[in-house]
Amino acid sequence: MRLKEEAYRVLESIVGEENISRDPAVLDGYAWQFGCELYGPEDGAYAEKAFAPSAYLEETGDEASLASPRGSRFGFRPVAVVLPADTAEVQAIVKACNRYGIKFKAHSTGWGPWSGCGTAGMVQMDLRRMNRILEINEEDMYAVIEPYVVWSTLQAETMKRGLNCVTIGAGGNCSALASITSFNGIGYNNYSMGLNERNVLGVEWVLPDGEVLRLGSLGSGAGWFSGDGPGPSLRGVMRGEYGAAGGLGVFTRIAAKLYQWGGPTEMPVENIDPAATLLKEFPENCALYYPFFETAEDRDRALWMLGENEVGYSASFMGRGLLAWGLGGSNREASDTVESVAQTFPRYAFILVLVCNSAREFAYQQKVVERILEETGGQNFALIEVPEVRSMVALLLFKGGNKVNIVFQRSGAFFDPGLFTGSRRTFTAAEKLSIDVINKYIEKGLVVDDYGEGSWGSLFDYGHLTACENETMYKSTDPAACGAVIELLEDLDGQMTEHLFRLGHILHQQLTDGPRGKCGHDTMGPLCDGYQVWQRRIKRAFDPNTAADPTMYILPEET
Amino acid sequence: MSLRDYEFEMDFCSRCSHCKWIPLLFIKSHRYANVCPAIERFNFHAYSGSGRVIAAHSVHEGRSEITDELLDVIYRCQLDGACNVMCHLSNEILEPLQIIRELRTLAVERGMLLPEHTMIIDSMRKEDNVLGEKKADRGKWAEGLDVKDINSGEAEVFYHAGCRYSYNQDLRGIARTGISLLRGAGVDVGIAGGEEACCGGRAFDIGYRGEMEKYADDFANRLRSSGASTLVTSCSDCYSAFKHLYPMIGKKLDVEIVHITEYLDRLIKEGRIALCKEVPLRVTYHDPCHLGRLGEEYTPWSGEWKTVHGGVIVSDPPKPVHKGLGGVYDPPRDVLKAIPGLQLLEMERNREFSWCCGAGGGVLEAYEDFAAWTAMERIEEARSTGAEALVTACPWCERNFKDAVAANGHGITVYDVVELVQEAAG
Repeated sequence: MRLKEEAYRVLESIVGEENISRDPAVLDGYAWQFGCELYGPEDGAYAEKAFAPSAYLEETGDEASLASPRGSRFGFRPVAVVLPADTAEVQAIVKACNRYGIKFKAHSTGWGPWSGCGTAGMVQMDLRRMNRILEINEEDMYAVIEPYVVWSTLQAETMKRGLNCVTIGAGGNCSALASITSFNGIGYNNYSMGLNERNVLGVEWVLPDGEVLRLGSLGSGAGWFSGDGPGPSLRGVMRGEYGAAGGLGVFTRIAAKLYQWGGPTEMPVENIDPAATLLKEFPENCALYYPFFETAEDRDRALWMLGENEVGYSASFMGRGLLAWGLGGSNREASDTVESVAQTFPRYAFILVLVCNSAREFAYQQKVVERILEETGGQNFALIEVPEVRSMVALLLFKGGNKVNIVFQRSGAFFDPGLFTGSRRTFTAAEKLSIDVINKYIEKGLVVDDYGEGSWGSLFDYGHLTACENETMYKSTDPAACGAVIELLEDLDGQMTEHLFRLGHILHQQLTDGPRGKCGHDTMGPLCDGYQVWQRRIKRAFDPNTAADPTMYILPEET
Repeated sequence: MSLRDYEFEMDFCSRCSHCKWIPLLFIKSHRYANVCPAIERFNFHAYSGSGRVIAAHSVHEGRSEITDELLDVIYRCQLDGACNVMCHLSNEILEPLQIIRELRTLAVERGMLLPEHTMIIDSMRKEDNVLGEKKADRGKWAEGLDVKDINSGEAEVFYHAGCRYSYNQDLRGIARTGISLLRGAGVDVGIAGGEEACCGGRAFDIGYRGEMEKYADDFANRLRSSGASTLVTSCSDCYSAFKHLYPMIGKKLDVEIVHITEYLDRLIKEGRIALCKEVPLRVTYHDPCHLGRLGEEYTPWSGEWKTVHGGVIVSDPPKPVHKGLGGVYDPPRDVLKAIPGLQLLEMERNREFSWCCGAGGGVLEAYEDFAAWTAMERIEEARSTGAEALVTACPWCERNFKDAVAANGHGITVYDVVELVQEAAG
């Protein structure tokens, strides 16, 4: 597939010669994404067949435009990549794509199959040049950022000012803007700061037809401080629970909420090797707990009580499978840990960090925690006293962490088929269901054996909601393992939905079905009040030409 | 080795982009969070460690060809090894730097050459140096030093100056000072003088692997006949070639390999060099890539990957993972700290995740503007510490920084560690 010269030159005139490419190897840098190994030509029709062909695309018969077979991470190759510098350039690109009937897909840090193009023949917009922290407003507690600003740098800058931001479990290497406008994920400090999706304030949004829409207080010229007004509040349309994953245009600037931070302005560490990184000094008026319990019910009761008392900065639970695979530097060391001690790890545990503003507050919070643990039978997990483990866990909770070493290093890939968000009451049952289903696939030897206990998750807003990802690692280069993961995704999605634990695993339905020309929403939607009807109407209203890549959001026509 | 040998490894990039940043827990600011000059300057993912691996994979699978544009991508990279370190912190399988090198070798094999690089190779073949200078002038830097000639006698320590210190008029004094300090401390040192040749490291970096093999053999013979038990060099590029690249091609040198800063540190701590004179200066130290993360000793590995526990990949026997932890970081700092009156300030990006000076990997020769841009980024970072001087321990870094300062008029002075030792020693 090739973009005709006229269209290419127009895009070039917008961003300049240095900021556009159609070199095949450069384009493959965008085609390659983890997760793309899950599907391939053998999985059926490609979504491109559902779209009207553009007169500005030439068919070259080049197989490299299409996704590679299962087990390979080369997904769909874009016809060009452009690097816009600002909102005006993004808008001009979007308008050009509409004019030429070309679809576009924007990404920020661009990690995961939802970042790449969902079919052949698209223009990829890499927002890397939009990398500025435009403002940190200490008084009104927000930061105005562009798409390429990552959580780690935003957090470093805000902590210097006695403020802090939400993070995401995927790591500080992820775009803050994309995380809170376009995707769904869990952060370690969601406990005290709410879900990422609730942390977006004013938004500047280039719609799929090229119009610029400003949401919240920004829309009425009142600044960035509010997401819902004065001014238009379209948060539900803009992102809903999962985000549109690029299917509704491009977010060019947003304000992210900031929070008061009682911890230090910096947390000096030593040794870059993650298995040996040590906090030089544990911060004052802060504490780390790793209690374990006899039963899941006791664990949950303790967590809910902590939330009700609003103590703690971060509270997360971590399955012993994930913990065991996360310890040790090399894969061999981790294997040894799993073989020798993992089954002695407590099954029902959580990790908690306190960050307090004063010695007095610290003493109070400690008392509350100790009282709750006493009432629920919580005991200290001795492993946390090992300095390297203590630092690793504390930094994971303080600073958002980096899960890459755990979930990618071991086998090359992971997916979280057991992802669910729900009320407190559903949490324990949903976790158990995911463990049971995942174990069926472990027994077949096609996914990594973590006892099905690769879960981790958090409470939101001190326990109003909970979310859990039960990660499953698999060998990314093994087509049989990739096939098993798809089967597992569909199996668990179906069961989760049947039990009404959540609205099914929509994003992953989209991930596996979208590139195959199917639409997961048409399977899940009828079970969930027919939401897909409204989602499709939104897509059509905002994107009359289907210019924004629909494959990870919703296909314009029912399949 | 070729890309074929890395077919398994190339599949294990998740595109996480950790190769673009310093370790996340070490980030202190948005401004200085980036670690790779190429992606920072040119932005397309292909300019990152991950993107280069993907490009190599694409070329290897026949999905794409080495075009003129890709050639720019391949060579607009200092091969500073930062991506390799960052990747290896959470990935023991992928070998970004090795794969990037293999892609360069493939480009050369396919006749996709940069003219500036062919000039380097011509110069090496004709004159045994990378700078286009005359072989006959190689030994001039040591004129009048009255130091032992190891071509005609033996010495305990073999001092190798390297191309840059041998030929560059501004920098020669540093090599001469190094020799004077060693001799003043009673070290039995000899040099090859006019017979010294290039280490070959630059040729290896730009894809001409065979050239370095030739120099490695020649160097090993000369070293053996010198009877030296210790090899000392002031050039970080050469240090890395001896310590890291030679073992990579199976030509490990059978002597102790020491950078001049390590040797001076040893002499100072043993009391053989006394630093008595105050040097009232606020300085910051720039870790040369080739002394730091690329100065780590290379340990070859030959084994196989096995799958256990339903998908976990383990190496058998255990594979050494090069994370840059074994580089030379403390000795130059200890030397500076031993100088009375001198205040050492740290930049945000240091040690294993230091920002490159911009000169390496053939960039200075082929993409001068990119080399200068990279240097200016570092100079700005140095100035942000409040330092009056930028100190380093590599002639390539010094040359590039001095030229960037001269061109842009920034008020910071560039020193070699050796120069400050000399000043403090009186």
